[in-house]
Amino acid sequence: MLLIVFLGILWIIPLLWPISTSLRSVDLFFKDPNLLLPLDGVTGSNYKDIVSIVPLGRWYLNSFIISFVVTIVVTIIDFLAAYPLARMKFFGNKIVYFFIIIGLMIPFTVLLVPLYDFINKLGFVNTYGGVILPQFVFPFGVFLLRNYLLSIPKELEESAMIDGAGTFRIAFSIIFPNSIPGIATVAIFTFLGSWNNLLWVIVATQNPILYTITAGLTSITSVNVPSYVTIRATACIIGGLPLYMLFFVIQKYIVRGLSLQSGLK
Amino acid sequence: MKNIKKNITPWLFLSPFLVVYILFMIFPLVRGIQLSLYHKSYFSGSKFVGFGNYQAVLSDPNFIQDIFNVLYFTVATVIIGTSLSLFVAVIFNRKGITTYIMRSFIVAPLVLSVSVVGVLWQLLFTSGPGNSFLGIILGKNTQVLTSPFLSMWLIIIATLWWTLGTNVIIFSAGLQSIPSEYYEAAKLDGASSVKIFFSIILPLLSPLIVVVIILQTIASFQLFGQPYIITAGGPFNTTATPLMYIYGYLATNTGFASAASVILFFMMLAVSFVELFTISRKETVN
Repeated sequence: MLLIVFLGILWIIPLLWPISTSLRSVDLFFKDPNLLLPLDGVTGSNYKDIVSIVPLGRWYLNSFIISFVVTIVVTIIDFLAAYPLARMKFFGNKIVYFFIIIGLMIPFTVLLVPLYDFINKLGFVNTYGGVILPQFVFPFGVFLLRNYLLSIPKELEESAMIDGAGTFRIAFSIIFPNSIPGIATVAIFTFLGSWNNLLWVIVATQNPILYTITAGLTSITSVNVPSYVTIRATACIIGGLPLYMLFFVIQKYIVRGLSLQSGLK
Repeated sequence: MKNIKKNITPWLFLSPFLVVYILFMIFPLVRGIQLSLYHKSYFSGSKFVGFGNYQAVLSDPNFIQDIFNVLYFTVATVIIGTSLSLFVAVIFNRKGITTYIMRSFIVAPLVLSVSVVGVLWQLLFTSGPGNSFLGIILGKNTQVLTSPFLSMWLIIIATLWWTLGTNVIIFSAGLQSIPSEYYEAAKLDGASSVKIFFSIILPLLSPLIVVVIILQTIASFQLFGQPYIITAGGPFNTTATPLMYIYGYLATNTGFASAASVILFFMMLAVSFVELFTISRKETVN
């Protein structure tokens, strides 16, 4: 038990210093830079100043727009693809499923150069479209939702069919509401993936106004002036704390998604 | 008529996904291999050079060093990441609110973005208490970011802090799927915790261990954000990675960058296969 508490505490210690630093004034910080708790007085000035130094609001807005659009589209098209794979008998079902599973094994690394080339030819570099479009591909979501849909009892559809409902009606008014936990898991994974995507964002746009909070934060590290330490710690907290808090709410969906990924139920 | 409709409906459902999948994944995959065979410049246009780009990439000492750097990182994160997360999952495999909260602390950083993690650890070891803390432990004055060895280990530790939770969750789910009768029977026979670990937990979790090792390998090979932010590849290129190399040539030399990505891809594939093969074979021998 002692070991458990020790490990847990060990993991939050790195977070104490930036939280403390973000709440201290520059002068007090330089008197003792190593303080893990803001014992010498708390100030909100860093949070006020940071807004005038970098377009944090805009970056947050971009993150929300991009992650939101990506999540909505991915969830819909992955559900649409998973539905026939799990619930319909048709020629080619197994082959298409295998074809989609291949996508789980393709790392983004090999796609980076041709995707940039493609987006460049379409004239989408430095646009939201260029940042968003390639993120629509999320084969893991199809895989996860197909497995989830397989666990829904067949009787649900059969009774609806007897009532004369069409395939689209069944998919959206019967299967969809019954697969909300699976859909939520896919949505969360997509949202986190998109929110945390760094490489593609800085490849697809060189315009800092289009940066997401994740991409924008990296540009703060290059500002290497000593008095910026408290500002950078503040940026780190503003960029990270909301998601960190959110984790405690969405934990069970993350656990479900990861268990499915490794082949467990 | 009804038959045709029945045959088309599944494809109607599948089509939106298949369109983006082919357009943004399958097509670029093929195109990437094609691009790697051409030399492209703004003056003379595209020229087929066969394996010329591959030759050039493989004879670039910087790329070779990047490969060694990422191999070092991968070996370290796979060995430590797998065994540490298994250890954590085992000791956290009990009920109770304290355990739940402490485990949440370990898992929570995985939702953070690489830039938050990068800025956090870079600050800790440039302006924060990192260097003085390490100085006390080592008994001498240290500047982590000027030492190649310590810089790499800073990236390894930052990565473990960030992603260990993923493996912990997978192993915890695996442990919960082991029926409790197994433990009870072993305890009745007087088996120690160590004995239970090696003769019950380890064999039953071995398929999961393979999964974790391979997932960790694939993720580690694609190391980019942490060194990009924490060290910018330094000191002396000792923490630069193949993906940073590719990123550097992206806009200026597409063929070169594509060849480097294809090489990286095949290395990942080869290492994963070797892992899958050797580990599964060892299982059948046991």
